[in-house]
Amino acid sequence: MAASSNRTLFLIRKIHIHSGLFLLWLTWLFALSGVMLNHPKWEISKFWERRDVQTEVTPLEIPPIDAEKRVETVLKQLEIDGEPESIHWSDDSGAFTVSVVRPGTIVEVSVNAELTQAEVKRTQTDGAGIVHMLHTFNGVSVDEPARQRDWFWSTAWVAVMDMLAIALGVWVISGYYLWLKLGKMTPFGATVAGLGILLAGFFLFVTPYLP
Amino acid sequence: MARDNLFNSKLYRGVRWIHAHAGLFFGPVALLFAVSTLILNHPQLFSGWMAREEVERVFEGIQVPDSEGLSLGRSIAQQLDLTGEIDWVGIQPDEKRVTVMISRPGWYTRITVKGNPGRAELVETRKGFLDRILYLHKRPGPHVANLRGNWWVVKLWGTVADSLILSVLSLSLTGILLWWRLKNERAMGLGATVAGFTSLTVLIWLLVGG
Repeated sequence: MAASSNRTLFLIRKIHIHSGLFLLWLTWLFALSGVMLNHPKWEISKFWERRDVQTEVTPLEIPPIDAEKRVETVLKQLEIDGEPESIHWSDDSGAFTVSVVRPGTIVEVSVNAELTQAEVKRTQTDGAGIVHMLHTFNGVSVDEPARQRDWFWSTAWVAVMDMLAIALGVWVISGYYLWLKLGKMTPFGATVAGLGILLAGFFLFVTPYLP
Repeated sequence: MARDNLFNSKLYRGVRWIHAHAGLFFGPVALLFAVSTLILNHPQLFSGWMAREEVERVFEGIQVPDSEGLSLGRSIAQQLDLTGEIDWVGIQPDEKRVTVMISRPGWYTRITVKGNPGRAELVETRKGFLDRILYLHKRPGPHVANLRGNWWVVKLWGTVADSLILSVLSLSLTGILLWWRLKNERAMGLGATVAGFTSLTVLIWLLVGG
Protein backbone atom coordinates (compact mmCIF):
# COMPACT_ATOMS: atom_id res chain seq x y z
CA MET A 1 0.00 0.00 0.00
CA ALA A 2 2.81 2.35 1.02
CA ALA A 3 4.88 1.29 -2.01
CA SER A 4 1.95 2.07 -4.35
CA SER A 5 1.47 5.47 -2.72
CA ASN A 6 5.19 6.19 -3.09
CA ARG A 7 5.09 5.23 -6.76
CA THR A 8 2.13 7.59 -7.36
CA LEU A 9 3.97 10.37 -5.55
CA PHE A 10 7.14 9.69 -7.55
CA LEU A 11 5.20 9.75 -10.83
CA ILE A 12 3.28 12.94 -9.99
CA ARG A 13 6.49 14.66 -8.95
CA LYS A 14 8.19 13.59 -12.18
CA ILE A 15 5.29 14.87 -14.30
CA HIS A 16 5.21 18.14 -12.31
CA ILE A 17 8.94 18.75 -12.86
CA HIS A 18 9.41 17.65 -16.48
CA SER A 19 6.20 19.07 -17.94
CA GLY A 20 7.17 22.35 -16.26
CA LEU A 21 10.61 22.29 -17.87
CA PHE A 22 9.25 21.28 -21.30
CA LEU A 23 6.73 24.14 -21.26
CA LEU A 24 9.04 26.67 -19.58
CA TRP A 25 9.65 28.80 -22.70
CA LEU A 26 6.00 28.73 -23.74
CA THR A 27 5.02 29.80 -20.22
CA TRP A 28 7.46 32.72 -20.38
CA LEU A 29 6.15 33.68 -23.82
CA PHE A 30 2.58 33.87 -22.48
CA ALA A 31 3.74 35.68 -19.35
CA LEU A 32 5.47 38.34 -21.49
CA SER A 33 2.55 38.70 -23.90
CA GLY A 34 0.13 38.78 -20.95
CA VAL A 35 1.99 41.77 -19.48
CA MET A 36 1.87 43.49 -22.88
CA LEU A 37 -1.89 42.93 -23.16
CA ASN A 38 -2.45 44.23 -19.64
CA HIS A 39 -0.37 47.38 -20.23
CA PRO A 40 -1.28 48.78 -23.65
CA LYS A 41 0.23 52.18 -22.78
CA TRP A 42 3.73 50.76 -22.36
CA GLU A 43 6.07 51.55 -25.27
CA ILE A 44 6.68 47.85 -26.04
CA SER A 45 2.92 47.26 -26.36
CA LYS A 46 2.41 49.99 -29.00
CA PHE A 47 3.45 47.69 -31.84
CA TRP A 48 0.51 48.79 -33.99
CA GLU A 49 1.90 52.34 -34.19
CA ARG A 50 5.20 50.91 -35.47
CA ARG A 51 3.62 48.70 -38.13
CA ASP A 52 4.78 48.73 -41.73
CA VAL A 53 2.10 48.81 -44.45
CA GLN A 54 2.68 48.07 -48.11
CA THR A 55 0.07 47.94 -50.84
CA GLU A 56 0.48 46.56 -54.33
CA VAL A 57 -1.81 45.76 -57.21
CA THR A 58 -1.25 42.37 -58.81
CA PRO A 59 -2.80 40.99 -62.00
CA LEU A 60 -4.57 37.64 -61.70
CA GLU A 61 -5.03 34.88 -64.24
CA ILE A 62 -7.98 32.85 -63.06
CA PRO A 63 -10.51 31.01 -65.22
CA PRO A 64 -14.22 31.38 -64.33
CA ILE A 65 -14.88 29.28 -61.20
CA ASP A 66 -17.54 28.73 -58.51
CA ALA A 67 -17.86 31.37 -55.80
CA GLU A 68 -16.81 28.91 -53.05
CA LYS A 69 -13.47 28.20 -54.72
CA ARG A 70 -12.63 31.80 -55.60
CA VAL A 71 -11.03 32.77 -52.31
CA GLU A 72 -8.91 29.64 -52.09
CA THR A 73 -7.77 29.92 -55.72
CA VAL A 74 -6.86 33.61 -55.46
CA LEU A 75 -4.88 33.10 -52.22
CA LYS A 76 -3.07 30.16 -53.77
CA GLN A 77 -2.12 32.15 -56.87
CA LEU A 78 -0.90 35.06 -54.75
CA GLU A 79 1.01 32.59 -52.51
CA ILE A 80 -0.65 33.96 -49.36
CA ASP A 81 -0.70 31.51 -46.49
CA GLY A 82 -2.39 31.98 -43.11
CA GLU A 83 -5.73 31.92 -41.32
CA PRO A 84 -8.54 33.55 -43.39
CA GLU A 85 -10.34 35.61 -40.73
CA SER A 86 -13.02 37.47 -42.62
CA ILE A 87 -14.46 37.35 -46.11
CA HIS A 88 -16.74 40.13 -47.42
CA TRP A 89 -18.54 39.77 -50.70
CA SER A 90 -19.17 43.30 -51.93
CA ASP A 91 -22.17 42.41 -54.10
CA ASP A 92 -23.49 39.67 -56.38
CA SER A 93 -20.80 40.37 -58.96
CA GLY A 94 -18.25 38.13 -57.25
CA ALA A 95 -15.86 40.84 -56.03
CA PHE A 96 -14.62 40.16 -52.51
CA THR A 97 -12.20 41.16 -49.77
CA VAL A 98 -10.48 38.64 -47.54
CA SER A 99 -8.16 39.12 -44.53
CA VAL A 100 -5.52 36.50 -43.95
CA VAL A 101 -3.74 36.56 -40.60
CA ARG A 102 -0.63 34.96 -39.16
CA PRO A 103 1.33 36.22 -36.13
CA GLY A 104 3.07 39.41 -37.22
CA THR A 105 1.33 39.74 -40.58
CA ILE A 106 -2.15 40.74 -41.74
CA VAL A 107 -2.84 40.59 -45.46
CA GLU A 108 -6.02 42.15 -46.89
CA VAL A 109 -6.78 41.11 -50.44
CA SER A 110 -9.43 42.90 -52.51
CA VAL A 111 -10.33 41.15 -55.75
CA ASN A 112 -12.41 42.62 -58.57
CA ALA A 113 -15.47 40.91 -60.03
CA GLU A 114 -13.68 39.72 -63.16
CA LEU A 115 -10.94 38.05 -61.09
CA THR A 116 -8.31 39.89 -63.13
CA GLN A 117 -6.80 42.10 -60.45
CA ALA A 118 -6.05 41.95 -56.72
CA GLU A 119 -5.08 44.77 -54.40
CA VAL A 120 -2.89 43.32 -51.68
CA LYS A 121 -2.38 45.34 -48.49
CA ARG A 122 0.27 43.76 -46.28
CA THR A 123 0.62 44.97 -42.66
CA GLN A 124 3.76 43.79 -40.92
CA THR A 125 4.42 44.20 -37.19
CA ASP A 126 7.69 44.03 -35.28
CA GLY A 127 8.70 41.30 -32.79
CA ALA A 128 6.51 42.76 -30.05
CA GLY A 129 3.53 42.48 -32.41
CA ILE A 130 4.36 38.84 -33.11
CA VAL A 131 4.48 38.09 -29.36
CA HIS A 132 1.19 39.95 -28.83
CA MET A 133 -0.55 38.17 -31.70
CA LEU A 134 0.69 34.73 -30.59
CA HIS A 135 -1.22 35.26 -27.34
CA THR A 136 -4.57 35.70 -29.08
CA PHE A 137 -4.11 33.79 -32.35
CA ASN A 138 -6.62 30.93 -32.40
CA GLY A 139 -8.58 31.33 -35.63
CA VAL A 140 -12.00 31.30 -33.92
CA SER A 141 -14.23 33.69 -31.98
CA VAL A 142 -16.49 33.26 -28.95
CA ASP A 143 -18.93 35.70 -30.60
CA GLU A 144 -19.08 33.51 -33.72
CA PRO A 145 -19.02 29.91 -32.43
CA ALA A 146 -19.74 28.55 -35.92
CA ARG A 147 -16.46 29.90 -37.30
CA GLN A 148 -13.81 27.25 -37.90
CA ARG A 149 -10.06 27.21 -38.23
CA ASP A 150 -8.91 26.76 -41.83
CA TRP A 151 -5.14 26.77 -41.53
CA PHE A 152 -3.13 23.78 -40.35
CA TRP A 153 -0.62 25.85 -38.34
CA SER A 154 -3.29 27.76 -36.43
CA THR A 155 -4.74 24.37 -35.40
CA ALA A 156 -1.24 23.29 -34.31
CA TRP A 157 -0.80 26.50 -32.31
CA VAL A 158 -4.17 26.01 -30.60
CA ALA A 159 -3.10 22.47 -29.65
CA VAL A 160 0.02 23.97 -28.03
CA MET A 161 -2.05 26.59 -26.16
CA ASP A 162 -4.43 23.84 -25.00
CA MET A 163 -1.44 21.83 -23.82
CA LEU A 164 -0.26 24.79 -21.73
CA ALA A 165 -3.75 25.32 -20.28
CA ILE A 166 -4.02 21.64 -19.33
CA ALA A 167 -0.47 21.68 -17.94
CA LEU A 168 -1.35 24.73 -15.84
CA GLY A 169 -4.21 22.73 -14.34
CA VAL A 170 -1.91 19.73 -13.77
CA TRP A 171 0.74 21.91 -12.07
CA VAL A 172 -1.81 23.47 -9.73
CA ILE A 173 -3.54 20.20 -8.80
CA SER A 174 -0.32 18.18 -8.51
CA GLY A 175 1.19 21.07 -6.51
CA TYR A 176 -1.65 20.86 -3.97
CA TYR A 177 -1.29 17.05 -3.92
CA LEU A 178 2.47 17.17 -3.33
CA TRP A 179 2.02 19.81 -0.63
CA LEU A 180 -0.48 17.57 1.17
CA LYS A 181 1.39 14.28 0.69
CA LEU A 182 4.91 15.47 1.45
CA GLY A 183 3.87 16.44 4.96
CA LYS A 184 4.62 20.14 4.49
CA MET A 185 1.08 21.24 5.29
CA THR A 186 1.19 24.03 7.86
CA PRO A 187 -1.55 26.35 9.17
CA PHE A 188 0.17 29.18 7.30
CA GLY A 189 0.14 27.20 4.04
CA ALA A 190 -3.52 26.33 4.53
CA THR A 191 -4.29 30.03 5.13
CA VAL A 192 -2.42 31.02 1.95
CA ALA A 193 -4.30 28.37 -0.06
CA GLY A 194 -7.60 29.52 1.45
CA LEU A 195 -6.88 33.17 0.62
CA GLY A 196 -6.13 32.18 -2.99
CA ILE A 197 -9.50 30.43 -3.24
CA LEU A 198 -11.25 33.45 -1.66
CA LEU A 199 -9.54 35.82 -4.11
CA ALA A 200 -10.68 33.88 -7.19
CA GLY A 201 -14.12 33.36 -5.61
CA PHE A 202 -14.52 37.08 -4.96
CA PHE A 203 -13.97 37.99 -8.62
CA LEU A 204 -16.09 35.13 -9.97
CA PHE A 205 -19.02 35.12 -7.57
CA VAL A 206 -19.15 38.52 -5.83
CA THR A 207 -18.12 41.20 -8.36
CA PRO A 208 -21.09 40.62 -10.73
CA TYR A 209 -23.43 41.58 -7.87
CA LEU A 210 -21.53 44.47 -6.29
CA PRO A 211 -23.72 47.55 -5.70
CA MET B 1 31.41 22.04 0.76
CA ALA B 2 30.20 25.07 2.70
CA ARG B 3 28.38 26.33 -0.37
CA ASP B 4 26.73 22.95 -0.82
CA ASN B 5 25.55 22.95 2.78
CA LEU B 6 24.09 26.42 2.37
CA PHE B 7 22.27 25.30 -0.76
CA ASN B 8 20.96 22.26 1.05
CA SER B 9 19.75 24.12 4.06
CA LYS B 10 18.66 27.74 4.17
CA LEU B 11 18.57 28.60 0.47
CA TYR B 12 16.89 25.33 -0.47
CA ARG B 13 14.25 25.67 2.20
CA GLY B 14 13.63 29.30 1.24
CA VAL B 15 13.27 28.48 -2.44
CA ARG B 16 10.93 25.59 -1.66
CA TRP B 17 8.86 27.79 0.64
CA ILE B 18 8.44 30.44 -2.08
CA HIS B 19 7.61 27.81 -4.73
CA ALA B 20 5.00 26.10 -2.57
CA HIS B 21 3.28 29.22 -1.23
CA ALA B 22 3.21 31.17 -4.51
CA GLY B 23 1.63 28.09 -6.10
CA LEU B 24 -0.87 27.65 -3.28
CA PHE B 25 -2.01 31.27 -3.40
CA PHE B 26 -2.21 31.76 -7.17
CA GLY B 27 -3.42 28.22 -8.02
CA PRO B 28 -7.15 29.09 -8.24
CA VAL B 29 -6.51 32.22 -10.38
CA ALA B 30 -4.20 30.18 -12.63
CA LEU B 31 -6.97 27.58 -13.02
CA LEU B 32 -9.34 30.36 -14.05
CA PHE B 33 -6.94 31.32 -16.87
CA ALA B 34 -6.49 27.65 -17.86
CA VAL B 35 -10.24 27.00 -18.15
CA SER B 36 -10.90 30.26 -20.01
CA THR B 37 -8.12 29.46 -22.50
CA LEU B 38 -9.88 26.20 -23.40
CA ILE B 39 -13.21 28.05 -23.81
CA LEU B 40 -11.62 30.75 -25.98
CA ASN B 41 -9.92 28.12 -28.16
CA HIS B 42 -13.00 25.92 -28.55
CA PRO B 43 -16.10 28.15 -28.35
CA GLN B 44 -18.20 25.68 -30.36
CA LEU B 45 -17.80 23.07 -27.59
CA PHE B 46 -19.04 25.48 -24.93
CA SER B 47 -21.68 27.41 -26.89
CA GLY B 48 -24.47 25.36 -25.23
CA TRP B 49 -23.38 26.67 -21.83
CA MET B 50 -23.06 30.28 -22.91
CA ALA B 51 -26.47 31.43 -21.68
CA ARG B 52 -27.64 34.81 -22.91
CA GLU B 53 -30.54 36.86 -21.64
CA GLU B 54 -31.46 40.35 -22.83
CA VAL B 55 -33.58 42.89 -20.96
CA GLU B 56 -34.58 46.29 -22.35
CA ARG B 57 -35.44 49.26 -20.14
CA VAL B 58 -36.24 52.93 -20.76
CA PHE B 59 -35.62 55.98 -18.54
CA GLU B 60 -36.68 59.59 -19.15
CA GLY B 61 -35.10 62.90 -18.14
CA ILE B 62 -31.43 61.93 -18.33
CA GLN B 63 -29.10 64.94 -18.30
CA VAL B 64 -26.19 64.85 -20.76
CA PRO B 65 -23.39 67.04 -19.35
CA ASP B 66 -21.13 69.09 -21.61
CA SER B 67 -18.20 66.71 -21.31
CA GLU B 68 -16.81 63.67 -23.07
CA GLY B 69 -15.11 60.34 -22.50
CA LEU B 70 -15.04 58.78 -19.08
CA SER B 71 -16.53 61.77 -17.29
CA LEU B 72 -19.57 61.76 -19.61
CA GLY B 73 -19.98 57.99 -19.28
CA ARG B 74 -19.75 58.13 -15.49
CA SER B 75 -22.31 60.93 -15.24
CA ILE B 76 -24.87 59.03 -17.33
CA ALA B 77 -24.21 55.72 -15.53
CA GLN B 78 -24.58 57.44 -12.16
CA GLN B 79 -28.00 58.87 -13.09
CA LEU B 80 -29.10 55.35 -14.04
CA ASP B 81 -27.63 53.90 -10.84
CA LEU B 82 -25.25 51.65 -12.79
CA THR B 83 -21.73 50.70 -11.72
CA GLY B 84 -19.11 48.77 -13.64
CA GLU B 85 -16.29 49.20 -16.11
CA ILE B 86 -17.08 51.85 -18.73
CA ASP B 87 -15.97 50.14 -21.94
CA TRP B 88 -16.83 52.79 -24.49
CA VAL B 89 -18.37 56.27 -24.78
CA GLY B 90 -19.47 57.57 -28.17
CA ILE B 91 -21.06 60.88 -29.16
CA GLN B 92 -23.03 61.33 -32.39
CA PRO B 93 -23.62 65.13 -32.41
CA ASP B 94 -25.69 65.11 -35.63
CA GLU B 95 -28.20 62.77 -34.08
CA LYS B 96 -27.86 64.31 -30.57
CA ARG B 97 -27.13 60.83 -29.33
CA VAL B 98 -24.69 59.45 -26.75
CA THR B 99 -23.83 55.76 -26.41
CA VAL B 100 -22.22 54.31 -23.29
CA MET B 101 -21.21 50.68 -22.83
CA ILE B 102 -20.66 49.46 -19.31
CA SER B 103 -19.81 45.98 -18.07
CA ARG B 104 -18.97 43.68 -15.17
CA PRO B 105 -18.21 39.94 -15.21
CA GLY B 106 -20.97 38.24 -17.24
CA TRP B 107 -23.06 41.40 -17.50
CA TYR B 108 -23.08 44.06 -20.24
CA THR B 109 -25.24 47.17 -20.64
CA ARG B 110 -25.55 49.38 -23.69
CA ILE B 111 -27.05 52.80 -22.93
CA THR B 112 -28.29 55.07 -25.70
CA VAL B 113 -29.37 58.58 -24.69
CA LYS B 114 -31.23 60.71 -27.25
CA GLY B 115 -31.76 64.44 -26.59
CA ASN B 116 -30.84 66.56 -23.57
CA PRO B 117 -32.47 66.00 -21.15
CA GLY B 118 -33.16 62.79 -22.95
CA ARG B 119 -34.57 59.35 -23.11
CA ALA B 120 -32.18 56.56 -22.18
CA GLU B 121 -32.67 53.15 -23.74
CA LEU B 122 -30.85 50.35 -21.94
CA VAL B 123 -30.11 46.91 -23.33
CA GLU B 124 -28.82 44.66 -20.57
CA THR B 125 -27.21 41.37 -21.59
CA ARG B 126 -26.48 38.71 -19.00
CA LYS B 127 -24.24 35.94 -20.23
CA GLY B 128 -23.84 33.49 -17.38
CA PHE B 129 -21.00 31.94 -15.43
CA LEU B 130 -18.65 30.93 -18.26
CA ASP B 131 -18.65 34.46 -19.60
CA ARG B 132 -17.49 35.72 -16.19
CA ILE B 133 -14.36 33.60 -16.62
CA LEU B 134 -13.81 34.93 -20.14
CA TYR B 135 -14.42 38.50 -18.99
CA LEU B 136 -11.73 38.20 -16.33
CA HIS B 137 -9.31 36.53 -18.77
CA LYS B 138 -9.58 39.48 -21.16
CA ARG B 139 -9.41 42.33 -18.63
CA PRO B 140 -7.99 44.93 -18.45
CA GLY B 141 -6.97 44.08 -22.03
CA PRO B 142 -5.40 46.07 -24.85
CA HIS B 143 -8.43 47.89 -26.29
CA VAL B 144 -9.47 51.50 -25.57
CA ALA B 145 -6.39 51.94 -23.39
CA ASN B 146 -7.41 55.42 -22.23
CA LEU B 147 -10.56 54.10 -20.57
CA ARG B 148 -9.36 50.78 -19.18
CA GLY B 149 -9.37 50.10 -15.46
CA ASN B 150 -11.91 52.84 -14.59
CA TRP B 151 -13.85 50.50 -12.26
CA TRP B 152 -11.94 49.55 -9.12
CA VAL B 153 -12.72 45.85 -9.64
CA VAL B 154 -11.06 45.76 -13.07
CA LYS B 155 -8.15 47.83 -11.76
CA LEU B 156 -7.68 45.38 -8.87
CA TRP B 157 -8.04 42.42 -11.22
CA GLY B 158 -5.30 43.93 -13.43
CA THR B 159 -3.03 43.93 -10.38
CA VAL B 160 -3.97 40.31 -9.63
CA ALA B 161 -3.22 39.33 -13.26
CA ASP B 162 0.17 41.12 -13.12
CA SER B 163 0.92 39.41 -9.79
CA LEU B 164 0.02 36.06 -11.32
CA ILE B 165 2.56 36.70 -14.09
CA LEU B 166 5.20 37.61 -11.51
CA SER B 167 4.35 34.49 -9.55
CA VAL B 168 4.62 32.37 -12.73
CA LEU B 169 8.11 33.79 -13.25
CA SER B 170 9.09 33.17 -9.63
CA LEU B 171 7.55 29.66 -9.73
CA SER B 172 9.52 28.78 -12.85
CA LEU B 173 12.81 30.18 -11.48
CA THR B 174 12.41 28.50 -8.10
CA GLY B 175 11.25 25.35 -9.92
CA ILE B 176 14.49 25.35 -11.92
CA LEU B 177 16.54 25.66 -8.72
CA LEU B 178 14.62 22.86 -7.03
CA TRP B 179 14.98 20.61 -10.09
CA TRP B 180 18.72 21.27 -10.40
CA ARG B 181 19.23 19.98 -6.88
CA LEU B 182 17.76 16.58 -7.90
CA LYS B 183 20.82 15.07 -9.56
CA ASN B 184 18.88 12.02 -10.85
CA GLU B 185 16.46 14.28 -12.75
CA ARG B 186 19.04 16.60 -14.33
CA ALA B 187 19.58 14.76 -17.62
CA MET B 188 15.88 14.21 -18.32
CA GLY B 189 15.06 17.76 -17.25
CA LEU B 190 17.70 19.22 -19.55
CA GLY B 191 16.29 17.11 -22.38
CA ALA B 192 12.78 18.37 -21.66
CA THR B 193 13.96 22.01 -21.57
CA VAL B 194 15.87 21.74 -24.85
CA ALA B 195 13.01 19.82 -26.52
CA GLY B 196 10.52 22.47 -25.36
CA PHE B 197 12.66 25.32 -26.65
CA THR B 198 13.37 23.66 -30.00
CA SER B 199 9.78 22.64 -30.73
CA LEU B 200 8.46 26.09 -29.74
CA THR B 201 11.04 27.88 -31.91
CA VAL B 202 10.27 25.72 -34.93
CA LEU B 203 6.50 26.15 -34.53
CA ILE B 204 6.74 29.94 -34.16
CA TRP B 205 9.04 30.08 -37.19
CA LEU B 206 6.44 28.17 -39.22
CA LEU B 207 3.60 30.36 -37.93
CA VAL B 208 5.36 33.63 -38.62
CA GLY B 209 6.43 32.51 -42.03
CA GLY B 210 10.13 31.89 -41.75
